[in-house]
Amino acid sequence: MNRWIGFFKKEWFESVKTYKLFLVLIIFSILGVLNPFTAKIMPAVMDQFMPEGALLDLPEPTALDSWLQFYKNVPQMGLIVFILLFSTMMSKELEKGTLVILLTKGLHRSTVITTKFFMALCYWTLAITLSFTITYAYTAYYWDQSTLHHLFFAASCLYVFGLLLLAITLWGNTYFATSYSGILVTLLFTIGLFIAAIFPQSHSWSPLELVTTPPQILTGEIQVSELLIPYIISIGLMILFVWLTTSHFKKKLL
Amino acid sequence: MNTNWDLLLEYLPFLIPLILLQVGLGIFSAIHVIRHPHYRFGNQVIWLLIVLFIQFIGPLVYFVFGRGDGDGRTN
Repeated sequence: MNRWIGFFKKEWFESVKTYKLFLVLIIFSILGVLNPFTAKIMPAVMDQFMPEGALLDLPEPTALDSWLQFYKNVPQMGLIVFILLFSTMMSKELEKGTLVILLTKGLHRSTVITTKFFMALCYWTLAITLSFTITYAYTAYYWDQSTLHHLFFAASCLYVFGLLLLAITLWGNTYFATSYSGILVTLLFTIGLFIAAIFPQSHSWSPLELVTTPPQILTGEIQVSELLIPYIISIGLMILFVWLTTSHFKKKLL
Repeated sequence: MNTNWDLLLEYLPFLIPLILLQVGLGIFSAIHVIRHPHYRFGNQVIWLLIVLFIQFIGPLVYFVFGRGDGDGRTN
């Protein structure tokens, strides 16, 4: 356990020194402010672009619009940014050979993987919490949120999907050991999910549902219980990929 | 003109943090680019342009992929 905490501290200092903490804080704050802002400014922007005299009856923005922006911006921009930031977790160490010294001193190989994943998990928690809190504060100030259902559960869906992608990135990055392989594997996986989404049967189990349905959860069109299977599958896949990474890394030649 | 000012005032609670964060990130990255003139690829002018004109993806790409190692700091 001591080693685990020691290596975790090393990971933490590394992430601060490589400006990861700084970037995550700034970018996810920007995203948090951007959501209610886009929702609020949209009618005014549309007004500007309409020709003179044309009447466009736009409804006033509501709390739902703000959260729609959240579920559009954070999975697209936020997740891409996040995967890019953490895509070189393993390959950097493998390329430089910095792990060899630590491993010969008796550090467990599984410790390396679990610590790295846990570090990324902490950062993703921070990022989502930050973005969610800022959007929540602005939305609560400008609009009435009482009509929305399961705000926190909807956000947790996004959170779990992010963790799944992180686990896959870590696996790809360790298995192929080049800086872009993590991103490539994650991209292929996401494309695969999108292809599967063409078939309506996949809607009952596909992890992709976790990022596409939150708006409907908010309006109450989809019940929480319908997302139970995608939720469990995502968590299961996440654990599987972390386990695959550990078992592969144990046999890897450094 | 009057209506534009009203609009601006209405969106000020959004604009102030947005501008502060984005400009702050841009300037911080630009200073880093100038003070550490060793990059994995590209040169100073290219990185300055990327960092200052591509909103938040620019600084991110610089810090993750472009920033050189052992760039003159003593540690």
